[in-house]
Amino acid sequence: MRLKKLFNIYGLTAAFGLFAILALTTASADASDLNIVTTTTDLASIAQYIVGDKGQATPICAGEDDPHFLEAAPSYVMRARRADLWIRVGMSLEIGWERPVIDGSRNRNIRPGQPGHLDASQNILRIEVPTERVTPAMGDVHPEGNPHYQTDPLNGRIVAETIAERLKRIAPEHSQTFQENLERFKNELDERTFGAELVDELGGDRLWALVLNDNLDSYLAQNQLEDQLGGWKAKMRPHRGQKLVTYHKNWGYFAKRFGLEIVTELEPKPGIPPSPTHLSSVVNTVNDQNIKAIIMAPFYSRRAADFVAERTEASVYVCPLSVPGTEPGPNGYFELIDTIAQTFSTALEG
Amino acid sequence: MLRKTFYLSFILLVGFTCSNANADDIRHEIEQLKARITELEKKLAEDKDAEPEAELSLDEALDQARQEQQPDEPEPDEFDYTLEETLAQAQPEQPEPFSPGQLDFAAGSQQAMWQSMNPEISVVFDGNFSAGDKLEDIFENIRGFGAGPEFEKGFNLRDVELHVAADVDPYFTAFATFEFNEEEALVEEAVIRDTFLPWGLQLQAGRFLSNIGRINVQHAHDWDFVDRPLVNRLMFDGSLDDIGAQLSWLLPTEQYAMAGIEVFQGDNDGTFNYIGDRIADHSGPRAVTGWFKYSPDTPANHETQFGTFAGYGRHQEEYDLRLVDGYSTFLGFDAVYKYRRPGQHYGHGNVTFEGEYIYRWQDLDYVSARDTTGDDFSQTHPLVGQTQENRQDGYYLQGAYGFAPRWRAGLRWDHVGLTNHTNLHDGRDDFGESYRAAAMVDFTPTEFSRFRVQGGRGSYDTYGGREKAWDLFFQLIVSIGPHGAHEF
Repeated sequence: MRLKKLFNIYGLTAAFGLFAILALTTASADASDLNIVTTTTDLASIAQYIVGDKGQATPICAGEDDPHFLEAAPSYVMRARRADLWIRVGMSLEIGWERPVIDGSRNRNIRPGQPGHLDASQNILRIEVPTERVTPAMGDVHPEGNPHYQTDPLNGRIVAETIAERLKRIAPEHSQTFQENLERFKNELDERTFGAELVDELGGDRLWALVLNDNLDSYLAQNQLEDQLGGWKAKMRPHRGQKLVTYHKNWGYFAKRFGLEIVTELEPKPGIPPSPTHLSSVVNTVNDQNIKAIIMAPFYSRRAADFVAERTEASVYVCPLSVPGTEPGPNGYFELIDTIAQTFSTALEG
Repeated sequence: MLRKTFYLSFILLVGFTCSNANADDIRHEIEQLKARITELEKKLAEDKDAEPEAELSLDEALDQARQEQQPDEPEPDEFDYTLEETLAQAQPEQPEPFSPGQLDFAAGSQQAMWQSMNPEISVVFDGNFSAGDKLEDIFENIRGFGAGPEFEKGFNLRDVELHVAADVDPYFTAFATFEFNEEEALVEEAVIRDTFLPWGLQLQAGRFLSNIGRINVQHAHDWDFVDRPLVNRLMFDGSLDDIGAQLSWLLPTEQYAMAGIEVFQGDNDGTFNYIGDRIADHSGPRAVTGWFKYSPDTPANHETQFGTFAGYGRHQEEYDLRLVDGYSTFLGFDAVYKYRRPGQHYGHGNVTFEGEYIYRWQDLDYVSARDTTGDDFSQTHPLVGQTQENRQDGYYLQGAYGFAPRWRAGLRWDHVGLTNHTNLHDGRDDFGESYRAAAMVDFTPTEFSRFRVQGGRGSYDTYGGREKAWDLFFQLIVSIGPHGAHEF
């Protein structure tokens, strides 16, 4: 009697399980293609450029969402389980959900420390690295520094190199393709940063070296090349030194690269929503310093920004922080920086 | 060099053209020109010095930038701490290039890397203020079930939970949760889990919360309501947690499907109760459970999961007039739906629905009996050999909605005893249904703290007749230390 009942229960479960296997098993994707899973669309776009026709890169987080606040979910687990390479932004950005996704996927190849796990932040130029012990009382301060590094095109370039290097290790048979794609990526990024003429004349590496030494301008002036400067650098040049306010510390890298000054944030502390007291002090700052632009990522509520805008002469601009959508093409990253540069330049002209 | 010659010839020219002028004037002009030459030479030298800097290769420049970036930043006005404090700090170490095997989930810099060598430790405080009539005794008196009180009236410190987790080595990861409440300290979980098995398999052993259903495996501070749903509470007298081993398998299917089997020592109040030699000795393991979870493909931002689970094991019970020994069997279903509103923040617009249904059989034999509580139990009592059959079930449904950033509101419906009867030697006892509705609002300032207000009203079938009761809770949950990631 009891045994029979027991048999019924487990029989039922087993039958259900078996049915599921039979019903759901379908041929998996072409095994020779590299399956890259990234946490954000920006990384997916860059990875797609580098991997080219040797594989696909898909993001977990849509471009409109805040990768901070995702929750582990079965669909992420399924994407991770089939991945040959997992790329994260790093710097604790995905700390709230990466572990259950990778653990749940049972994919040993993408566990941290394995060649299939890549932290894209490993070589980037960081800002806002705390120099004292970080505590939660400071808000959501990341001990490794500001993790929104994708807005600096130089970091995009470094990330592309990092990804290419790892891909060569995972799939050495395609090394040459990855290297060629990387060269093309860098060239395109450099041309969009400085203009094609200048890149032809001086080479991208030389130009970035001048930028990092902080004497691109004096060099161009001395060699009468100023007129040849194009791209994002030329677009942002008239705005150098201009001041603006942002919602969260999302835009520090872009501002630093293009010489803008972010005076304050609407958030009193990173990750802490704006409070009335803090907003009134922001209003004073904006009025005192005659600031014209408030820039925020699309996933924040506009209410706080509108509150400040109504009481000052500043206007609110919503700017994408990541490549929009869930299927970023290989050019998505370039288009993102285009949009950011366009939005900032419009905001600062207004 | 060419320029110097030019300046010198210029001086000579000036000298000649001025040869008929006043010698003093000429001397004065020469002095001025000399000064001018020195100035120009200095400028030239400066230009020369500047040039090699521009000749740095990109790699050199990158290295230089990496060296410089750390001490230069953060800019003092961008953080809340002052310049003095920032400067007082020693220059942090450079992030090291990638070296496989040293990074873990939290790592991103060398600082985080050495920190990650230590276990991740966090402490959760979960306290509340409870009010209500019959809060303390009503659950013990629900007919067909029976469970101890969850809270006392007034202030409760449900638990202070100490959570420790770390990767053991490349092959195992481990975590433990110690629960300190007002009376005792308990090992709630102590789990070793493999990270090396192939084919989607995973083995874990230790003391752990069974993965049946939804609520059982979650810690109390992760629930959407203050208290455990009635059905889970009454069936398992808390959670089903025990010492044992679990093997789970992520099926090689296109859609998410996970099956698991757990073997337990079999000592859990409510369903797998074990008393031992006063009734009968049975060596462990005495209980086994199995579960299957399936998650169909859904559009982005929607997640659904369906589950079914079952369990079977030894159950012993001590009543006033009889000691019984037999088996408990349960079968259940669970479902969850989560919607994450895209482009929103702090959970605004998110929706969660979930529910569980559990049906439990208990087939028990009288092993000893007595006529009055004053007598000794006797194994030769005429009632020995009689059977007792318990049949109970229940379900809950709950939902929560993020009505504003960081604010949620939720409703829960509890219903137990749709089936609720016991067959004894002297006939069948039919019991009634009990149900309860609860509403909550919670506020989550950061991921480290949460406040909640919850009110409920229930109608219970008790040994004293039908009783209605209300309850009210104010809850505060605070966690310190690195906050682990949440499971789905």
